[in-house]
Amino acid sequence: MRQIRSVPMRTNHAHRRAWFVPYLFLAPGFVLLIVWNYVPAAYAIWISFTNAAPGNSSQFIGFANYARLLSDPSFWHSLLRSFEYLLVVPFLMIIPLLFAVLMNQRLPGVGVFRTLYFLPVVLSMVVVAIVFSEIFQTLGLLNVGLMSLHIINQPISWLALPSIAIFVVMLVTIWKGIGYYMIVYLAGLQTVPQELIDSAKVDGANLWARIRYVLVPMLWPFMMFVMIMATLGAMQVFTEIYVLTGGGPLQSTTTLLFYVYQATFANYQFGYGAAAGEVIFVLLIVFSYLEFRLSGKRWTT
Amino acid sequence: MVGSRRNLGTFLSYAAMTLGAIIFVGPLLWVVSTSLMGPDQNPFVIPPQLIPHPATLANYQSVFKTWPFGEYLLNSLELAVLSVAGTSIISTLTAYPLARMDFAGKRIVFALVIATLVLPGEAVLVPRYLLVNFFGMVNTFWGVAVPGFFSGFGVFLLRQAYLTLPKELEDAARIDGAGELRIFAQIMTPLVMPSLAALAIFTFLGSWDGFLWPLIILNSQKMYTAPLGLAYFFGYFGASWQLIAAASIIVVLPVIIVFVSLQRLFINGVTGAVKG
Repeated sequence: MRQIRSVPMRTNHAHRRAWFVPYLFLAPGFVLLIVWNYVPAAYAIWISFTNAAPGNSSQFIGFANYARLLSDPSFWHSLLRSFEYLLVVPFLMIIPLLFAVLMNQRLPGVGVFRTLYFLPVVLSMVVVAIVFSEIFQTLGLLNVGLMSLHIINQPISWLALPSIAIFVVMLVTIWKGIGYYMIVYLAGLQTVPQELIDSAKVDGANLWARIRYVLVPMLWPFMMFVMIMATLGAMQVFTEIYVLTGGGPLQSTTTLLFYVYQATFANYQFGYGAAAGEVIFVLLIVFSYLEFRLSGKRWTT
Repeated sequence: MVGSRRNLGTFLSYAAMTLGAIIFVGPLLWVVSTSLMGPDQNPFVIPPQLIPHPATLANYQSVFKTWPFGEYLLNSLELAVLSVAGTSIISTLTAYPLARMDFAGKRIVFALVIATLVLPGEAVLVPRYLLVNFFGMVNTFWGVAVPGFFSGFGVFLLRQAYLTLPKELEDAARIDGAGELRIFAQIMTPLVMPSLAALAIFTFLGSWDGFLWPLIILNSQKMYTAPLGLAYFFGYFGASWQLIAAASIIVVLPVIIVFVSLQRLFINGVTGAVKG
């Protein structure tokens, strides 16, 4: 049977396959893609117009959740915190670039350093957050060090001060992220011809000029990639906050995602949580769009 | 003159790199050192000791004896294996036709895939949870893993890999009478193994490190993964830093071992994401 069928296939339709074959391959992934990505995206809009909560039959309540959102100072506060958190983006764009340039030199042992720098990336965020919590707590390593150097006389409660805590959390995000983006830039540096850098050197360009006029233009697409990834990452920060501060003190580290988490899974207001989630959704789309536009423009000039 | 300037540059490079290494590895070394301390030793001293005197492994024993930490680790492992298997299968199956076949609707499917890259799961946290609940998968590993089986990153990475394979390979196999499934499974997919391995490693890492989603889906302590258990004992029990440190090392050690031995694949995974 098989023999007979394969003969005409071989002669006449060597490249033909049944029309449904690609769809058979696609089917499982496509179903999961729709069910777990697009259905939730649409479903979220519906929920946000209801008073859904565990155990109640949810009812349509129009724009009530959104109205409540707009009049809730805690929501605005958390939105502001999320924007504030974008401060990590420039750090994650620049520090890894400097390290990558450093690591791109042909120096003995440079591979070992590269490995060590990537180490934080593979550590569990829970572990990293716990370590930093032990460093920054009132009787933690940092205060002990600063006091033994007589820089301060009294321990500073870094994580209990509303004006400081969020910067400690940001530090954790930055510390853990540097290695990843360094590898991204190292991949980018492979695309910069060494002759270009050498000729700039011969022409007498100093380090800053070489970075400004050779490296940055060549690495621009990579910098944009890092910017997009770091921005999306900053909007999704959760574990660091959960472990280090739990959103406090005085909600000073409650970002939008943390606010959604609390509204939904601590207060069980699914409808309200979904409405706040829609704001994250829209923000992510807007940021992505703006940054793609930005990268596209620069890329062509 | 030029020579001495170069020497100075090399010296400064090493100085900067060493400083970086202290910043990135120092905290981890402190955890190791703390985990080897007895309850009466003080981890909070400057400069921190690299190896405490006396050193003890008692904390590592206590972690397993007084906490159900062995159970947490097994849960993490089970979840990670499930995630890696699901993501690998779904990603190869989905990426293959997108790379190697022509069919109606291809552009639309590809656009739908790409759109998920900029739309992380966190944006649809609430409806996803309600769907998991609807399917009766709350407090199960399936509930944690299945929503992540489809990975835009995974499909993209493998599509790029399948695209690089020569057409002749496929044609030759077809002339030899191989069916579509055989060409896919026995000829093309083995050739994208480096990318598939990178995907597997990143999926494993993501699962092992996962926090927010398992926190929402797994609500009985018996189901906790290692990070959930660790956060729980850190936050609610205020266990001693020595004990927490030992547990932390246990959580990160498998990943560090995998990373150090398979570095190349990690780097491929990162750069694969960029080139896409």
